[in-house]
Amino acid sequence: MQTAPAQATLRIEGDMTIYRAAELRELLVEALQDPQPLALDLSGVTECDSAGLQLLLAAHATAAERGQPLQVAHASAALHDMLALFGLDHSLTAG
Amino acid sequence: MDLDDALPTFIAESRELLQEMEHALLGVLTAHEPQHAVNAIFRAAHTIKGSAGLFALDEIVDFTHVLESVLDRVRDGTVTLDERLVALLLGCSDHIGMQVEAVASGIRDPGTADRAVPLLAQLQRHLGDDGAAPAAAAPAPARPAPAPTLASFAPGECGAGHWHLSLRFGPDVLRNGMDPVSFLRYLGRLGRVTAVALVPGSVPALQALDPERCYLGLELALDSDADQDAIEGTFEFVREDCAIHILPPHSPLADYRSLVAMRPEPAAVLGALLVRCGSLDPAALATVLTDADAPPMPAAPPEPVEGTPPRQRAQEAKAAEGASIRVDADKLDRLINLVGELVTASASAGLVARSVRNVALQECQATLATLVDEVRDSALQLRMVKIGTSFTRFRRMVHDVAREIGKDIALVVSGEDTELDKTVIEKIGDPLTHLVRNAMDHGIEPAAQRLARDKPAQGTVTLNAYHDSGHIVIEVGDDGGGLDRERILAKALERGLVEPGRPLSDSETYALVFEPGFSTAEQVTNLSGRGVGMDVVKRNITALRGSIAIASTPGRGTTVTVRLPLTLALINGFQVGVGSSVFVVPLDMVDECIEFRDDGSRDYLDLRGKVLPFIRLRALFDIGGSPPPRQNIVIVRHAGQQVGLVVDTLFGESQTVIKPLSRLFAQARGISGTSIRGNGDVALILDIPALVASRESGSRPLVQGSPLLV
Repeated sequence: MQTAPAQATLRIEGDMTIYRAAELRELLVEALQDPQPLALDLSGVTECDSAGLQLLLAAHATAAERGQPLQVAHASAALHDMLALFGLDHSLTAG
Repeated sequence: MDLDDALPTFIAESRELLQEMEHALLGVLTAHEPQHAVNAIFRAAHTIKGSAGLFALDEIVDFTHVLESVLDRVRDGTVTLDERLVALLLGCSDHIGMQVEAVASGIRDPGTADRAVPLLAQLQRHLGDDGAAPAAAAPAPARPAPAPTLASFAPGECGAGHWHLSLRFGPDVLRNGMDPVSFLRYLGRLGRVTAVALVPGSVPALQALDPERCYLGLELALDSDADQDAIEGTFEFVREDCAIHILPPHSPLADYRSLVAMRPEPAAVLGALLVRCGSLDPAALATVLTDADAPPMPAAPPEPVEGTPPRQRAQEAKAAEGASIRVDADKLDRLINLVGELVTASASAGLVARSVRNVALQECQATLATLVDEVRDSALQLRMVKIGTSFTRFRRMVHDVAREIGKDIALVVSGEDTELDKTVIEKIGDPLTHLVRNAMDHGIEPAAQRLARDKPAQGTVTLNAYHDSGHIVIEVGDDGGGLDRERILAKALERGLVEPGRPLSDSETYALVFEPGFSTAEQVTNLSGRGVGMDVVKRNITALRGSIAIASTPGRGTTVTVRLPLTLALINGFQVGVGSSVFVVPLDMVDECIEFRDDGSRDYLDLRGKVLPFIRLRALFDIGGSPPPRQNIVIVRHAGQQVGLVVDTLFGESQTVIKPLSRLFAQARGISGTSIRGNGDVALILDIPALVASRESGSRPLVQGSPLLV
């Protein structure tokens, strides 16, 4: 995880699956504690399942609750597939 | 999965589910929490429908579908359960039973479909009568016409193949190793997923998120030529956990309306998703939403709507499943037979070990024998089932018969948890049915007569089961008029069953009703009916090495007591010797053994102040030779009676595998079976109930002449 001053970026690598869901939730909670805009760099995500998707949706819901901008800045092909499958490729990713 | 192989499982499961359904139906009106029973009924219908669909048993699917729709309304409270509806639902459960049996036997009875028609018509009435419109124009039962106002069909952008799927995944789907993603991908193989819409707001914020729980809900449109079974089949493995609705192409708007009404999301939110999926256009949506508050239209069963298991139901199902496996009864029987052989082999090994006087060998053998005993006990335990399930069917019978004969009769069941061998349970069904039926027909008096006798108008039939000295005792009681002693005696005299002038005790008198031919007679009194078939009942019970007794208090009721051995295969035996013959007494029945000096003068002795009658086995079975100076008496007990058996020697305990007597010896009284001893000799198993009874009723010879049994 690396942070830049204007906008924080959280980079997640590897699997976003149910096996790591608990750990990733902690990571996201922590990253969102800072009130600045957060970008998720998911270009290193190798695999994503429904649990991973729920995490993204939950993070989105949390940020929306606080009026904190959150967007997926980069998505790996695997993640993109997943988002497309659920019709989310436009609502979560930037552009 | 090979479906043909799975069919027997479907049949067995359906039978069980139907039994559950029946049980729930019979209890639902009096239950504390009727919702549980209603859920159980719904679940049974729903599961049968689902499984029947897998096997393409359309008749069952069509029928259960209508039933399910009615049950759904019962669940949400739009239809109230009353006695009439319960009776109708029982009829439906029977009908499904017939359909399942037809599948099981492979014989299609064309009459079955006809029988469904009146049931369906009645079911439809319940689907129709909750709105303002009466069911004046009752729809054709099998293929109901679409509702008039919502008769227009969903437009469906993509023409012929536009399916709408509404999916709510259960919380445990992910933990159970399923992933909604895989279903989406699979649907992609059946056709093209044209639109997916996540139900907004279903996933909570991070703080509240249980990362392993599934929150997802989807509305999606599928363009596919597949049939409903194939699409439903996608969700086969999560059907229980999830709420899945599948609307085929051109579903009437009424179905969309019921979908919207059924989901917890606000109608407008869900409506927007339907539009986004292209399943409804905005105009159609407006129709759906405006009508959403109106009462459901008559005669519009939500035909394509798949079940909506709420979470609670999924959990209940899980609890009910338990940790058990299904095993072929044949396999168990084979195991029990092998264990029987093992017991015999172990006994002969023990004999040999003792005779060679090798201590180490004897020790090994002793360990082995202990293990064999344990194996035997566990193996027999496998076949033990609770009697409760067979009691359940009597609830139904009492319910039906009471209606049929116009009496108000309640069934009180106790001891359902008492276990006995499955083979015994299977065989006592008929005799018990007979006894219960008799109690209802002839035991319980008509209401007027009951009131005149200061008894509650509602009669009570009781079924009770408990264990007693290696036997199971089943009591069938009623609080009716009791047996009429004088009438029985008169009848018995008339039939020549008793000699005139001979005094009979009450129990002897009542036992006369079990005599063959006691009552082949006219139905004049409630007494004559009592005897119908009682001899058959007795014969069946005796064939199971059981006994039957009857007790009655005039004006208060009658209780028939059936005693049966717990198992038909093995007993703990006590071996005794007379001359060169060896007999086995079931150990459970042995009270004690005492030494005996016979002066030949009498047939009883003083046992600590009580009179103990005894039987000389040597004389009884006409065994040659003279008795040794010191004999022994084995005191046995059956049904509260004690009798002594005079024998030469006591050999002690042994595991005894029962071999039934061949038909040749069917007339030999006092013997219930044979057994092979460790040394290969044959030992005869004494029929203690018959011996005790013979002592009681006096001097009837057990064996006529009979050199056979030496």
